[in-house]
Amino acid sequence: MKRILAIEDCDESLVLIRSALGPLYDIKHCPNGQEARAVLGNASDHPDLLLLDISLPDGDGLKLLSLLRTEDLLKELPVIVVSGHADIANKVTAFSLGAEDFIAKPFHPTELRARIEARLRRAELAQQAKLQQLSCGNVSIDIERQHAYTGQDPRVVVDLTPKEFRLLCALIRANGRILTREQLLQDAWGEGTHVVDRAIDTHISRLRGKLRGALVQIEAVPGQGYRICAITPEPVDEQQQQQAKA
Amino acid sequence: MSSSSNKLKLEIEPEIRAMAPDYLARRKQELLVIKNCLSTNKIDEVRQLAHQWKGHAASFGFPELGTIAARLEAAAAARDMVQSKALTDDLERSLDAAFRAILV
Repeated sequence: MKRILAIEDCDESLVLIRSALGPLYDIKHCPNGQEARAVLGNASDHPDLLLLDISLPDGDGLKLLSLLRTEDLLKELPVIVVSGHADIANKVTAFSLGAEDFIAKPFHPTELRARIEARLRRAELAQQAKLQQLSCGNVSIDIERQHAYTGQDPRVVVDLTPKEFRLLCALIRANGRILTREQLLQDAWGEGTHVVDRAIDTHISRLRGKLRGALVQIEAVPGQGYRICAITPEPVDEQQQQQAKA
Repeated sequence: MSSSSNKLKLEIEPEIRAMAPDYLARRKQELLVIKNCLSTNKIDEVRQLAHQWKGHAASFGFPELGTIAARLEAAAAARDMVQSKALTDDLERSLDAAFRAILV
């Protein structure tokens, strides 16, 4: 289920948002910018889309948007500004700061839902395009062929099971973000599957084994989950190289 | 702003319509807050509340309330107490009419 974070201080607007989106989305709510920054600071809590009001009790929503865009992990998060301050200046500023859309209040709940669906569809298409060329360190993935490779020239195919392949895709797609076991389960096994959380650990352990020697590291973050990051190759010691040749 | 309130013609969904009585009851309470703010010269609070009404009234199916709230927001922003009081009275009349309409 897609996650939406609504940064909105008006209770009635929130009632409308919840009613419009209802059970289709997992909606979280922050009544001010400070709480929103705390939630967005937690990588495993990142939403799929942000609904942002401009006038927040502790500041300007557009300033918050500008701050979010400086964060690597939030640069591409789709943001829809929803505001009663719908003058041209605010709209232009919002778009120039990277908002995907601007919905003026009062909005029709049906239109809100339609615009959110459209943005999420576009985000998903962009994500799919990105998936075609996934890579981390010297590990690359060919989604079409369902192959993972290490190295550049020549590329070596890594022999992965379908679940290991899906886990690797999810980790690389997260681009350094921590994924919880629940998120990994959802990606590798699909929604609604009930598997013991620790099953992930077993698959991760096998995946690590198969990627031994590659320039990536699958890191366990205690209490949170896993993330993948690229590592730099160790400098080659010339003396050791000569000894090896001899 | 008032014109955008009037443009919201698409039919309100039944789920939202079902919330109308509670919504109006909450507005009745908030109208008392607005009146109290006016009597204590807290005009910025009046502007803020009017801005919020302008933003949600039409979405709940009450564009007339939204239109008056937009005018009240403008009057409060101009710190025009006389006009703000007159518009608060209009808001109350419109609110009563909305209550009567949903009872029919």
